[in-house]
Amino acid sequence: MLYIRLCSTFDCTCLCVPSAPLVRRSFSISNNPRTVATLVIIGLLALSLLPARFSGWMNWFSSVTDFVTAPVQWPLNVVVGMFKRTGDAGRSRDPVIAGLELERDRFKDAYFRTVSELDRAQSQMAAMSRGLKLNAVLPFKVLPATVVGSVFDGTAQVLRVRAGSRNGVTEGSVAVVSGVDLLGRIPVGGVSSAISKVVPITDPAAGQLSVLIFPAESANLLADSTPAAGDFDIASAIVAQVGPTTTGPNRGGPLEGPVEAPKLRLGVALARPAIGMVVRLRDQRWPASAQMLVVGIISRVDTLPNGREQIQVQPRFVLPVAEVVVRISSDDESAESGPASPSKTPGFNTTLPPNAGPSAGQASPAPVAPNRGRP
Amino acid sequence: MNPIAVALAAYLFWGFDAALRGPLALGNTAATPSFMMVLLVFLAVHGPVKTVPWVGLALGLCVDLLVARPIYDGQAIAAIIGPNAIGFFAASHAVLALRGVMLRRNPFAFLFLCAAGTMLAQLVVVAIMTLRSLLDTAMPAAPSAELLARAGSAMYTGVISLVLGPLLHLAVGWFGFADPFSRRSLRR
Repeated sequence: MLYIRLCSTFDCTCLCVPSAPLVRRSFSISNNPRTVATLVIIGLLALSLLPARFSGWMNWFSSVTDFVTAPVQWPLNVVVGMFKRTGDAGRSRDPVIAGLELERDRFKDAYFRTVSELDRAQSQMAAMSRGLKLNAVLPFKVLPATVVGSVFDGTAQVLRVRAGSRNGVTEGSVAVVSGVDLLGRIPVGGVSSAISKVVPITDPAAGQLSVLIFPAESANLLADSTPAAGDFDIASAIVAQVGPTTTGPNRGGPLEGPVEAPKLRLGVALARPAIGMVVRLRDQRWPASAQMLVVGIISRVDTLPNGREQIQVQPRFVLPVAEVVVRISSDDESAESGPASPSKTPGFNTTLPPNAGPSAGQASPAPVAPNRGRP
Repeated sequence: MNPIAVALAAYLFWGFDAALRGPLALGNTAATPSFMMVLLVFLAVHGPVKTVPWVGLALGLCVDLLVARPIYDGQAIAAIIGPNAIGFFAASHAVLALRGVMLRRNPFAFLFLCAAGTMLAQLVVVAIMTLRSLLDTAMPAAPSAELLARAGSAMYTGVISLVLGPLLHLAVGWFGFADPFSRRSLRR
């Protein structure tokens, strides 16, 4: 060790060690800051480029971060919560009308879940006739949770809510605003014991959504006429695929996508999307508890060069929201229609049987105690 | 440099990044301020040349752990360790190179250094994420949108530094830095 200390530079001329070049080299690697820095940067670059299927262990460090930063985050969130806007951008500014709209939306949510359940039951009957084993009723629980942080990096946006696995939250659970507006879902790797991460549907990486539009349903309370029989028939609804826009630096911005070609039916006029119509989720890649939730309101309708129509859907929430309601999927439902585990299904393609997704569970979801304590 | 003061300040600013970046986002855009970068620039302006890049690396690692990115169309989430660490490391070197030609206590010089440092760090992050998206399709990249958003963040960080910079400069003594405008240093 004494020799090593003497030979501190490359141009050392002392003849203290017979194998001096070897000793000098090993010494220089461990003590030359530039060499160490280069090695560290190369290591970090390799970690950065590690494919997602090998980098799951990094999530553990990320979840530890939630606990470590909580003492600073918590008081700041209390202060920020006093000045934060609520997430009801699409509603009327008149409190009376806004209250009526909210009440109407909750009734509609219950109604559409029943419609969806009926549709699922019909699918079950059709499948049972072919001898397939199907799920029974798929219940879900609801859990109010406060948003404790929202980390934005570039265009990526992830919300942290104070509800974790100890509150029963599972991967694939759905976060809802105002009771009926779909905010996003809790992805695989997004649940720790006290905190869960929510990927909003407006995140550029959130992917496409299959949605339904009922021409008879409008977001405007005064324009929303009494529905006639068949107005909310799923078979006659407009189907579209919408996804977050990735061309601009906006966040929480509109979703857009093409409307699918309508089915021609004799004696029935073709339904066309219009501004103000309500867009609802109907996607087999999402859990049953998310089906028929409101994705947003149509804010623009364009005609593409190929003649097809493209809609722009504006969600009714404004990020970051202060509080969400987590719809916790049951174990059976998660297994059937929640997000698949990366280790089980390469490419994360969910393995849903046809018509197994859109069941909305029980008409009366069972509430569980909110988690309002500090993590 | 007082390591305890640096660690405490880093913890505080880490919490600011975790709690305030979302609420302080500029309107409906993705432009958000980076508090950790303001701290790094402050340390790089006053700190020793040999230590600052390593502090930058550590601060960048903290930011990496804070950020979770959706993958597989939002069905899963992943923390990626590295891009911000390398970006902060590069930014610290850039500020160290520029600090000799800047007036250290001028708030606008500090604004410029914060904006330039953030922009450089974000360029590194976008480059790495774009390269990553070519190798792994789980996390697609939109470089132009990302660059626009991150350029906005760089400007915003500069503006925030106008408020935080003077506060940090008041605490120069706590960090163990010599105040260039103190009587003792002026006598020299």
